[in-house]
Amino acid sequence: MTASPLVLRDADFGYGEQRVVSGVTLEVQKGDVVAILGPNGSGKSTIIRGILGLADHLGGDVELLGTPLHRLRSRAAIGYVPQHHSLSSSVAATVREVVASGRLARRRWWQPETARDREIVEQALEVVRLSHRADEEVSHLSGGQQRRVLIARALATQPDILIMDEPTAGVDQASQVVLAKVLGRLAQAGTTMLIVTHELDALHDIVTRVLCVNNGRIDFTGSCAQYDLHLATHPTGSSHHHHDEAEAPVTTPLSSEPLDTAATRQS
Amino acid sequence: MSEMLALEFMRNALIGAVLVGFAAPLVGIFLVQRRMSLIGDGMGHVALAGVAVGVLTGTQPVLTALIAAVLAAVAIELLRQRGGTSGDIALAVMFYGGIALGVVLLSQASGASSTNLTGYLFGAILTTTPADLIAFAVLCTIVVATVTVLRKRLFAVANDEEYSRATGLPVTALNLILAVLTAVTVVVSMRIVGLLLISALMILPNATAQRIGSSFASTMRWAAVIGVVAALAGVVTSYYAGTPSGGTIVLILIAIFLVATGTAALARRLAARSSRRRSVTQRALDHQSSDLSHPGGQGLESAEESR
Repeated sequence: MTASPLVLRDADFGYGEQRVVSGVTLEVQKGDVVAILGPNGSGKSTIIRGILGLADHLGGDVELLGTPLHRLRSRAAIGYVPQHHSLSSSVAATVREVVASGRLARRRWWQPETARDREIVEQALEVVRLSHRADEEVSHLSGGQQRRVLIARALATQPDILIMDEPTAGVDQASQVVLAKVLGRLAQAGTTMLIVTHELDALHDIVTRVLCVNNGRIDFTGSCAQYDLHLATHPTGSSHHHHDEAEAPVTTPLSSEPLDTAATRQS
Repeated sequence: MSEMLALEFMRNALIGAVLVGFAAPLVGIFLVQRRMSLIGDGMGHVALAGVAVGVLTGTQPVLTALIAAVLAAVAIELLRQRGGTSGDIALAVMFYGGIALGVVLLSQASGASSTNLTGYLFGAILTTTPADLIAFAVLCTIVVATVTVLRKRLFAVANDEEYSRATGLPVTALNLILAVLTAVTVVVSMRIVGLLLISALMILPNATAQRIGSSFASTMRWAAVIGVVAALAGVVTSYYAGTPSGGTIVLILIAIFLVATGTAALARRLAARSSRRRSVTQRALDHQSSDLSHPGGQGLESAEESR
């Protein structure tokens, strides 16, 4: 029996001495698509940053790909799609060059790129439907397409788990639908995914489990259907789950309604 | 030309120009990518202190400058990683302290200290000795070999440091390697263009290459070619015009940059005009055919791709 790609038991994450999120318990099975929901500042991104080694693991147990986090030596099997496209645009770089950088963690520093590496990069570009734009400069692409470049870069590592931070945030509605299609294809192929988002609607059909974070604590875990039911039993317009710290009503990308209302109606 | 090549110091100068003109842009491209174009100037300030120690102690100044620059490079990288205002101030203290120490120590050196100082401030490529050339060749070979082997990793880290760290690339080690490569390039460039112009050879070829290259790899190749051409042209021009070689090389680099920028702007304007004409013609054709047929539905994915 193979180990679960990710296991968290009462895990705490933060920066230095400061705990941002506490008591996270979650077991991600192979093929799971887990959405981590929560308002801005709730700590949802800190969870994945802690798993990725970008934030500090301050307590509890974390096992990534069958190895305790503190003993993890190779992160090559982790695919990561950052929240905002953080690519430097100071010097021209093509889509293919950026995606190919995803292969680097899979080979030793002295090893040159092989034909197999190039083949995997082309496959990753095909999955996100950007093969025909492989030789274009990344900075010339739209925001949604740049997000797909980052997904392709993560796929080029041939990850055992794909961790994404707000993959559909900050792009227009049409691009969100395209990104959801890309993620849907990955889910169908059995890719294990951990997705931080506050826009579940776009990903509703592919997410298998939901984890809600509020004020640094987990306040819901369950399936999508359970989550819909959970939302239905909570008063609409409360600060629960989806509202930003500024308490502005968060609108869904598709319906332009407050999320709680939209989710209640769907359920 | 043959008269110039008959002179040993000119042959040395031309070889030195080729070595530095080729190596400096290969390091500089990663500094441009990381928006650290002027870091070389700071390292040059510290390297001057190393030169002064070498002059005072009778040690090879290239060696002492190299030690000072490498130590500064490591300190700069560690301060950069720590971030914050205190790091910024510490860098300023280090840079100004370096050049001040260099000036004061050189003033205590016996003999023509002002000549020494001028040579290091503005470059003295015509005084390149065979021993200097060997040192430059070794250092440039190390720089070029390291960049060749590690260029994709250096690209990945400069392109997206957070992603590189998350996927397990040795980001700190790669950053330190780049810092040391910069220090080595600074020390070699110091004799060619002088420390006041030290970043020019690393940065200007890349600024020009960005106007020409359409990928990171092609930008890097163009930068190396531009660096070599400008360095050679600068040395030759300075010989015939009787001008300082360092300043001449940099002025030629700026001239190439301006020509490339102007040409690129003109090409963009012509392409935009041509595109507008095509668009107007296409709209007219679409309008004519709209009565005959309905446009087919376009999938979102291809619609976004066509943008």
